[in-house]
Amino acid sequence: MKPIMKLMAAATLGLSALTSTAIAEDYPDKTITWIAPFSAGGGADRWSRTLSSVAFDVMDQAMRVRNIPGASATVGWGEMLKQPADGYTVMLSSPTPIIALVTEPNAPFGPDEAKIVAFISAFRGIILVKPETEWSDWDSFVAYAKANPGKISLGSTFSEMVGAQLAFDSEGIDVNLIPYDSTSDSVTDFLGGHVDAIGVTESTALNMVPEEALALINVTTLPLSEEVAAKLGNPPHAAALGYETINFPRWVGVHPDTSDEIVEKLSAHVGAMLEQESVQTITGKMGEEIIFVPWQEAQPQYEALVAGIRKAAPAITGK
Amino acid sequence: MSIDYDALMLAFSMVFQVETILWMMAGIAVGVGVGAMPGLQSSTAVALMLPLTFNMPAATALGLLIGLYKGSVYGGSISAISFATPGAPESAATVADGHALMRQGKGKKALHMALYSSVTADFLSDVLTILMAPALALLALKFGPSERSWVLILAITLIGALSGRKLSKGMFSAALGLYIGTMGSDPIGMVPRNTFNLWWLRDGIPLPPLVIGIFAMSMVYQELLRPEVVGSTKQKLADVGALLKSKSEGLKLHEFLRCWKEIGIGLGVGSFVGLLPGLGATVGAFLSYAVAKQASPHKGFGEGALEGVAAAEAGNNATVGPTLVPLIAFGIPGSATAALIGGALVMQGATPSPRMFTLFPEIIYSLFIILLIGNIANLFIGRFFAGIYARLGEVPRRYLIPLIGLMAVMGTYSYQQNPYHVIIMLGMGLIGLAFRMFRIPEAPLVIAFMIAPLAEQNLRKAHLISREDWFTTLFNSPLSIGLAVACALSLYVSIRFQIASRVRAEKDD
Repeated sequence: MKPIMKLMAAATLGLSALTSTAIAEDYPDKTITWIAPFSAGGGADRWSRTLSSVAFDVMDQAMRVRNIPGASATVGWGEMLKQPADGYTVMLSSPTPIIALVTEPNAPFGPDEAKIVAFISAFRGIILVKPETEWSDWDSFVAYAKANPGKISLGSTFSEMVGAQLAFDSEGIDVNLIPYDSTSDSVTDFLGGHVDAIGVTESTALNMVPEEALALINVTTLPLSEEVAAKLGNPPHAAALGYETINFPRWVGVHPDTSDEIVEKLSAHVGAMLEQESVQTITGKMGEEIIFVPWQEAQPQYEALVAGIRKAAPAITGK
Repeated sequence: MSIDYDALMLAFSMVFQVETILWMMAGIAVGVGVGAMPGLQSSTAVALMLPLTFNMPAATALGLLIGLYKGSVYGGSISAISFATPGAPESAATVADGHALMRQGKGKKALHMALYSSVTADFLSDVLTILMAPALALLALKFGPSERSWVLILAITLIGALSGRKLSKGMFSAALGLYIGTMGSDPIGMVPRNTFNLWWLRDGIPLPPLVIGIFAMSMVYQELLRPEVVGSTKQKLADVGALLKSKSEGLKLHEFLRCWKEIGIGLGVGSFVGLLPGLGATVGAFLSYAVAKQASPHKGFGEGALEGVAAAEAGNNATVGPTLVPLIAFGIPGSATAALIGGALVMQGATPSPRMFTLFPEIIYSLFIILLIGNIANLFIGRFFAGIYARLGEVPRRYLIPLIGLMAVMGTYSYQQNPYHVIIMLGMGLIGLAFRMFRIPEAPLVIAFMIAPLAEQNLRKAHLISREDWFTTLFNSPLSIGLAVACALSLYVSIRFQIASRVRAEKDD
């Protein structure tokens, strides 16, 4: 490259960096569109509206919530990608669209097409079995599954199944996986004795243990709180056993080309919103736990989540 | 289940507060309005009002949400009868007879029949829920994927009854419904099927755009093809004058009592369907209608029979109470609306679980009392709305048709604010138009569309659980075998019914 060209390239880069820093300094100077890619009334929608109620107090700008559901939450994601990478279109999502994008051979974009702003909450995956079974703990479950490959059936939704399958892979056991659309359907079939085990979130597990079920293991990276662990009979933690694990977060993302400065600022704003008393009260009433992970830590965790889903998907979908 | 009288008294004092009763009535009034708007469903109404309950006492919150639920399930029938536009998918089975009555000038009768049969079946199914919730919940648990597959196959065998005299047309309609039902990701492997490489079809075709397109938009297209729809200004003014003076006749007691059999069928079928997860009010309504039609083929179902309105409306409202059974007994919501009501209970610190009867008996009793008195409030508020809508439904076609078109588009869009759904609805309207032109029945399409994915899902789950052994998949319990026999019997009766109606038709000719 000629010296004059190098100079021009350096000047362009420098100018764009300066412009981006200047833009980030003013950010946000207008209303932010916050996409909830699920229908009104669901968890993502309630979180979005709760955060939007304090947005103006935190960043002097309002947040407009738009529900754009469809195609397993990927329609809303696609809408975000159509907007400029300026941090004014933000999405709050869950593992659902990642699963859809990983399992779909002709997906319109990949699960890496988002820059992670923060995780705001997460749920744990717990495997439950009936109290009267012969596998009353994880070790006996593993021993039985090794002696009888494919004989134990486990029903759950896709997210919890990913965590369970990673734990089964770590132990090299073969469990018959039965996919369900909703946790309530899998719980019904479990209580009716039609499946041997289920994968559920901790809140569902708390409703069922100890009368209806025993907690075998927490298959997620996040440990249980001491109080919850005690109520569930202190099940082992897959991460502590050295298994490969993932988290199931509620994540906030923006267009992948958004500058780091804007993402950093937005991440700090989201963290500040979560600290507002009204947000803590409402989420507490919703039965949700605030678990804030800022952007630098959330991005690698998100990538691990995508990798975990990619690894477990073939065993679950049979593809 | 022994009654905790202290908790019962406490529940009475919690429910019979002015605040609770007023919020319940407000819930019913809003629910009827929401239900009458196509695309807006009971779950949408409950979801939107849920944040209001965060700071309410438990009974008041339940009053508002149950009121909304009951009001919106009845409200769906108002626009089905008045405008042939089902306010919610569960009212689609009411369109044929309800709107035919409206066109005969008997709209008020149809609306009253819908209300009375809804309230009667709802009340009796609530009593059933209260008396037998734990026992019913245990019964529901016996139905695993294999048994549920047979129940769904049983429903498919009733498609013959929905086909009228032309079985071949009914089968064509069902086949098309089956095909549309397979669009989207397959329920187990998540492999996209029949999506024409359109990404937005990954979730398949949702029920509201399909139902609105098939029943309402098709009528708009059909009327637009007739030049006489557009009239002069003078004519329009005369029409409005006539409308204001018109007074249609309400339902008589003997007409209501005449439909006891259809309401009974609706109560039985709806309660059973409501108990099983995933089926819901739409299946309840269509199945009840099909069974009632099969039981009384001579009553002119589909041509403006009050019995048809009674069977469909009793069938969908009878699912309301039993849908809450799994929530009360196990903490498992049986439907989207039940899940939202469960969410409201969590907010009140009463997390639904198998221990609810022990831990929060006063809340369970409050729920029971509200379920019952909600029906009485629904009756009075519903009657008020019925009077208004009966007149609106008699608006001359030239005004009504653009209004229906507008409601269809707005209602479809408001369902999930997804513009693709409007495209689907307009496309379904063209299919519905072809059905009208060639006199193909719509009901088999809707029922096959709904049941096929559920049947596939359950059958494939049963197949996976039995480790791909077909015999165990199909006959894994005495209940499965009993249901298989019931399917064979239903098929036999259906064929006999078809042969008998053909012979009768030939004699008439």
